[in-house]
Amino acid sequence: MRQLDDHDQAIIAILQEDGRTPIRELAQQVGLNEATVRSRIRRLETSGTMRVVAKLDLQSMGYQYTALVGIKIRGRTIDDVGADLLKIDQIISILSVIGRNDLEIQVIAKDMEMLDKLLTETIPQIEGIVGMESALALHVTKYVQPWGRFE
Amino acid sequence: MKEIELSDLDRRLIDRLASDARVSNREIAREFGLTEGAIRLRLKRLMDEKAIQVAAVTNYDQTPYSVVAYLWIEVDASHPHKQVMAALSARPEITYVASLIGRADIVAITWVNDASHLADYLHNTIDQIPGIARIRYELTHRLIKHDYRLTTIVR
Repeated sequence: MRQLDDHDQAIIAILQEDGRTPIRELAQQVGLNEATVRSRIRRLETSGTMRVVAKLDLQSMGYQYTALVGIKIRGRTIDDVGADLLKIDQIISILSVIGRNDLEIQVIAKDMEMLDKLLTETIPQIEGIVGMESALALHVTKYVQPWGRFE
Repeated sequence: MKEIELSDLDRRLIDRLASDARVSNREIAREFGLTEGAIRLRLKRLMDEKAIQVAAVTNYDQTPYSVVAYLWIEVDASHPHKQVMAALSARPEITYVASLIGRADIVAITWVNDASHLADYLHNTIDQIPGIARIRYELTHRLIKHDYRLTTIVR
């Protein structure tokens, strides 16, 4: 991992707020010239440190519901169960956790019927899942999560 | 907030930005055979309606605070939830806050260095927020999937 200096961090912070900030404005704000800013962005991207992406709003796409579901697993590896969960498009986050659950996942749905089917049929039918506890998000007041894994 | 109608052009724009979100309006216009003004207008509309957002994401494997913690928070019954949610949302290290039905009153997601950092953080920072009655936490040790192309744009 390459160490990020203050200029890199300043560029990332600005782009986390608005990824389409023009180079000219970035250069002014961080106090470097445009060519340097451009080459730093390229380096951050090619080294796999940062990526500027378009994010879609779940509600605008029709996904009104998000469930946060803790999953307990017995008799099968977390990776095997994880592989089955990865096949379900409506599961947007899968983390293995230490605590009373083995996995924490986030499930999105356009309506209650879809959510019900996912939480009471599709997911519990996966072999190795022995327990689920679900919460429904009522109101999301912050959703930044500015990280990802790049393939 | 209801589902918005996306035109074919909107969908093409979203697809184009998915592969390279810093591409210039001029370049998109050239590829689509449209004017730069037309592209600028559609993009502005998508952003004004909060249907899309363009933002930098950093590599999970390279972050110094590499452990994600889920905080399951119970609020004192007499205390307004809104105030607690606002206090949690205002903290830069907290990246997700939602009120819930089931499991807890509020979930907040944050990052820490390790378990002892989390213990200090909970004691020194989160416990100080008025109205918080109890916190349960879960530490993650591996990220299997996190779809960073989806979000909730707070209105």
